[in-house]
Amino acid sequence: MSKIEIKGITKEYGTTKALDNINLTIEPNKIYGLLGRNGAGKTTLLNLMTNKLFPNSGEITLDGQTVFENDKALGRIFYMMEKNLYPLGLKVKEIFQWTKEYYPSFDTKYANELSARFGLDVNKKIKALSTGYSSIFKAIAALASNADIIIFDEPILGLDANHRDMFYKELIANYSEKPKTMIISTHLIEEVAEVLEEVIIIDKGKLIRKESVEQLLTTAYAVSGEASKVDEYINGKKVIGAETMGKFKSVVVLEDIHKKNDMLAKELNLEFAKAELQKLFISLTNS
Amino acid sequence: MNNILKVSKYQLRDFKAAMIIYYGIILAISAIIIISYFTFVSNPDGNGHFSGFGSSALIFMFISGLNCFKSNFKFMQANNVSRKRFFLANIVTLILVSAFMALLNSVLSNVLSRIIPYRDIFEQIYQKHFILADLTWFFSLFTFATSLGWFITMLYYKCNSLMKTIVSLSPIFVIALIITLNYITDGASTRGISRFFTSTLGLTNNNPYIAVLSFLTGFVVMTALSWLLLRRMPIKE
Repeated sequence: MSKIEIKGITKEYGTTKALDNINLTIEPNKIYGLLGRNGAGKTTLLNLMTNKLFPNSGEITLDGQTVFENDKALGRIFYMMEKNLYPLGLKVKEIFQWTKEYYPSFDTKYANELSARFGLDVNKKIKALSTGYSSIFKAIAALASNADIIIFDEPILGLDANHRDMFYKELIANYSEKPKTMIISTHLIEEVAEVLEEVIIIDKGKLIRKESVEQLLTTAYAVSGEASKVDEYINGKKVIGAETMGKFKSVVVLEDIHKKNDMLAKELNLEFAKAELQKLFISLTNS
Repeated sequence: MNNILKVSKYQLRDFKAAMIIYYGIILAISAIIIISYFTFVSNPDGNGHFSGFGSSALIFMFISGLNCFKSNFKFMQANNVSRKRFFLANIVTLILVSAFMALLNSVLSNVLSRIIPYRDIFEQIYQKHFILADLTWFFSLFTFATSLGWFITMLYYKCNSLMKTIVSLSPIFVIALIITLNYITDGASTRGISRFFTSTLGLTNNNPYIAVLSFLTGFVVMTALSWLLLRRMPIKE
């Protein structure tokens, strides 16, 4: 069991409310996407979950035990932060050695294997790593930690397309080998969508959605075809995205996928497709 | 306890490199002093003497205290170590390093005093040489110096720019206040401060153990204040 419960969490910075009464349960062994626009409160929430910050009110527990100043609970969570907290003068391999001191299940062999695969030189000092390789190093440390809960904050920052693809594949392989709770906070929604089971969407410090990706994607659908016929179909419906290429048009309709009008679509010679998570996200956070 | 020692182990690694460099320099200076003494001093029975390694160790410990917070705190936060565990580990580290430095300082003083006319700061203040008193005096002084450095660096880390400026300027205000008070009270405030240091350092009855007690009290006060700063310390760039 690794159930995280967030109860009534509020965090204020001066007069700014970064998080406003967040209530959330993170179930064990699922891959979550934590989504939100810049400044929505994602990193604040992750910092609170890992004792980096303290809330103004509320409680966060892991299997019923508070995470605040609780080494037992904190030792079960590995948090790959966006910013670098590692000593710049240490080498990658030294950090791996020290990480094992604090995460006894840390798999050094696996970390070295991943480093070789990603082309990360473990003899390099942290200060010599580029932005991309700094992300790779932190992601490898997280994956090899073998913690019950792994949190990634912008894990693909600065990574090229190949490395991003490798990272997603390794994430799935790691999860399949030993299921664990993973929370991924990122702005590259479309890329990560394939990996996620559930999404948590935060907007302006408030929790606006927490549901499975599958469920969320049933709340909208895409319809495409000749522009005039598409316009006829969407008359009176809420559209959250549209693309036109000459006479061809594709729109995303915010409507339960089960309510789509198949007969009308057939009559107008239109095609249906699944909506993109990113478009739904933009729609949900664009108010 | 094992968990605390794991954190101390990392902090000691940090001290180790600095101590090796420091004692490398001290040994080199000692060698130069010894060679110079036997080469250039024409009257070995004169009244002059060498000193200063105790004071330099004191400065080293204070600076080490200043340097042992930010990087270590961030690294321990990266590894999800609680502030409480980090704090306790730091106390263990400061005590171990202070004890080791006091021991090395005592050994060095004893060796040098057998070769050249060397008197460390303890001997100069208390006009006596007693190894246990010397050791405990330096140990307590070093713990106080590192904890003071640790507290100051934490205070700077926690403060915003305005508060940092106020903290930086505060010694000037304190000195100005003392001078003003001294003027108003016709020197009574300076005499009071002097009496305070004379009694807390055990100079009234030439008792170094009173100073040991004072330094240890200072260490406890500094660590208590440090905990108040650390207990809700956020991560900063």
